[in-house]
Amino acid sequence: MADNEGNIIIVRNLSKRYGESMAVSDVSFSVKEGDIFGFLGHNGAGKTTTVNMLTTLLEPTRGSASIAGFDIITQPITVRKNIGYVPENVQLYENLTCFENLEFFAKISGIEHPKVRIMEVLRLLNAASYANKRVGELSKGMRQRIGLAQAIIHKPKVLFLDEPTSGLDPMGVKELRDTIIALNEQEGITIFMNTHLLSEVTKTCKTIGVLNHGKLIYNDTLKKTLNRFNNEDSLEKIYFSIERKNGN
Amino acid sequence: MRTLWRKYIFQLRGKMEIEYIRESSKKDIMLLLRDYTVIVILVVFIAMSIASCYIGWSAQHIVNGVYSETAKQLALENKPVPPSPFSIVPQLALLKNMIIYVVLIGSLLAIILGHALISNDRKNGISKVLFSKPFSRTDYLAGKLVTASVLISIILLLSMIANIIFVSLLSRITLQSIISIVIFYIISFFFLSGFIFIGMYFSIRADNSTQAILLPIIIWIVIIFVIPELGSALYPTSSLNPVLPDTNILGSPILVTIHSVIYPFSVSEQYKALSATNLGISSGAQATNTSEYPPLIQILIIIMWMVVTVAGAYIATKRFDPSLGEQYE
Amino acid sequence: MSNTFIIAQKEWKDIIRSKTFIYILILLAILTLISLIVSILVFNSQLTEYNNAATQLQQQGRDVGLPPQLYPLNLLRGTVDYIEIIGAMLGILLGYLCIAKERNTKALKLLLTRPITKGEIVRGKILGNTLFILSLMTIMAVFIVFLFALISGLFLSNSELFKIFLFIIISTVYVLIFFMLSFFLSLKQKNLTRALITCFIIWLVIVLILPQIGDTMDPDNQVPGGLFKSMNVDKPTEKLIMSRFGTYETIRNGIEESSITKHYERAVFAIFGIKSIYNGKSLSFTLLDTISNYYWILGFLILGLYIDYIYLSKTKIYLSG
Repeated sequence: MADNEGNIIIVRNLSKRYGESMAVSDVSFSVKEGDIFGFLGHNGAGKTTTVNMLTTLLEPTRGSASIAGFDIITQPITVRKNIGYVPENVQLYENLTCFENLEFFAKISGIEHPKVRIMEVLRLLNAASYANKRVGELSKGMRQRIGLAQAIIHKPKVLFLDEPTSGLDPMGVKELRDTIIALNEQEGITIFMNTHLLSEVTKTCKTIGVLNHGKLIYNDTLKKTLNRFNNEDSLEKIYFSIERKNGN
Repeated sequence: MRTLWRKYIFQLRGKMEIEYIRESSKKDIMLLLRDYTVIVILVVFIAMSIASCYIGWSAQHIVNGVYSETAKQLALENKPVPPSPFSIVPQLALLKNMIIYVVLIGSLLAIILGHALISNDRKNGISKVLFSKPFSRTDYLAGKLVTASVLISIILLLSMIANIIFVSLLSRITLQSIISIVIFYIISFFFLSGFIFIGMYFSIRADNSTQAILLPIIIWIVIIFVIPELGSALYPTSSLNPVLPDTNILGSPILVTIHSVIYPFSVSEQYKALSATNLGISSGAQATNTSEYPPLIQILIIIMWMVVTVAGAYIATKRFDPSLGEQYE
Repeated sequence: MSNTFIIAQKEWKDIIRSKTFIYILILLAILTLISLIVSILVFNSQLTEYNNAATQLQQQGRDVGLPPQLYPLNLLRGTVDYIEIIGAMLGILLGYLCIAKERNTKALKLLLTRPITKGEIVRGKILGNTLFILSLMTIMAVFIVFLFALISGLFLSNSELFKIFLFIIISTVYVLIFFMLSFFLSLKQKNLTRALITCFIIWLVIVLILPQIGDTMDPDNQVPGGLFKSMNVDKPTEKLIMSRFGTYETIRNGIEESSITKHYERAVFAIFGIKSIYNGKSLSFTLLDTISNYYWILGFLILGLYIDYIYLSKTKIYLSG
């Protein structure tokens, strides 16, 4: 479903206006199939708005994008079949068990007999023993995992994660990182990750994009980035020097 | 018939959509059962049926007693004894409280049901997850409509059975009266559906849960109390009574004008009048000295009410912005 | 005590600045306006009818009865009805919302990390809301007085103004009782939605069903046009017959008496002369005659205060989550 150059997400001049302010302004980039893309930027830079548009929750004011070859504006339903989305601090239905939640989301994603797949995903996420617990009774880390489970249950081509590590303890962060890498390597899912945690990016991502005041100010692979700024010793310094260059 | 209907639906919407509607209804019913919303509403409805029969019966019982005492007294005074008032008490008069209960309590519970149907999808960032799944807004609303219809039908059906049982225990029941009761519940279905849609509308539109509860209740107050007061000069507590006081509005040209403008929109008055006629109970129209519409027009008004509220819920669903999911607590 | 005032002040600011306040104020203003206008129109209609009938009777050389007399406070019947129904609901919503918003934002948990007791928070909230209800009723009363002058050019006498003042106090207490009920349930129930539904059901029973049962069970109401009328029975005979159904009438009255709404209605209807036997009677006579209603209202108030002030600060309550 990727184009000739292997791009699975293609964003062209995407913009979103809220009243007078431009939340996202003329953003263009692409993500290759099989990539782990880290979308960086400080709070309020427009990362979540961009993801909301790519996941078809929000209609762009201008511009367009395609995911797995489908246009987000004209073919939203097909786009949705090909993506999974984990919003920040997602918790799902508290009064349903993990299994019931996943069964619901699997069936509305078009899986007719999801039982086997649900157990497979729960095992992958080390959550199989929680299958019959109500989500309301779970710890925050476990809820996050069930939130992730609903997004991969239908084997999407692209997985969107919005601040996935927010609120997790170091152990939870590490487990999540391992899971993301496993999903990418074993299931071949392309990952698009919003974050402001630079340490996570170095450990997980292959490519980065930096968003500032709704504008994309940097986009390259992590390797090249680290090479280009070889005089800097951490991504943090690189990040600030990128932002400085753009007059901030 | 069933296959024809299925064929039609399948042509209209794909297999996927039917699957979505079924699954979302299943999920919603499960959630509403678990937080007891449906159970509470069901219990209240059945209690309403029983209470209205019992109150009606005990009052008629006393009427009987009063009549025989009166007859004795009149005989003592050598005055003529009139025929038993039961010859003029309508057979289903037992149910006249039920009309009022549906108008007051049923409508409020319907709003709560509509609210409960939506509010679960707007907590904990679920709307973002939900609306990134492959179904359309129309499917979403269709799922809610199916759930609402199923739930309200079950509630009304059980309440109707309770009613029929209690009427047959406490009074006499004929085929004609059973038919009247069934028709009464069908009318109630349409009337209450409108309130479910109003509850849904505000739960979809509101920024926070306070507004989602407060605004539909304000609308409820307007429909149940304000419009009847404005249109027919009924005091708010008077609309609670099956026996309406004499408030003649014909002497005031302004009131008559307001009445003629507002009365067609007074869905609660139309419902009361239609149900009363159907059950063979005298309605309030004589009390306000104004003429009622023919039943066909009344039915049309109630169906219009349902259509308009569904349209409102549809527009709200279309305009709903799931990317704001976190605003709703 | 100062902590209580700080909480009360915060509560007050919170309500005043929220949209909820604006909605409720607008709603009450519109309801008052409508019911007053409708009452005036109905009165005018009665007057026209009387005049027409009088002309006819005079032409026939017959006696003309007294014209319908205007007691301005009688026109407030609709407004009193609205406070009965909507004021009670307002109290319930306020009690629910002042807990719901804290539980959602978890701000109360934060408060408890300060040197402040549970009791002080509870008392502060009740005080803040009491002041809010009182000011709401006062604004409404001022609006009523203003409307009287504006619509019908009526300026209320001092004794009528005093009656309106009494009305503010009784109404505040009435709304407050419902506030304390839902405040209590919202703090004691883990599930807030269930607390709200419970409150609504209690509201339905107390405000709508119990007072209505009384009317519905009245034998005279069972036959269109009245049972006794349909049998050509005169008033004395009716009384004689009904005296033989003492127990039934006691139960009927007892059901009505168990509802605070009925006591509120009887007290205010007496003060305003909406119950016509109190028209033209002195205020002290009216108050004494309806004193039992005041005992009931006071009893409910004390019960509410006891439960909310004392019981809540001693037992487990849900301030967050």
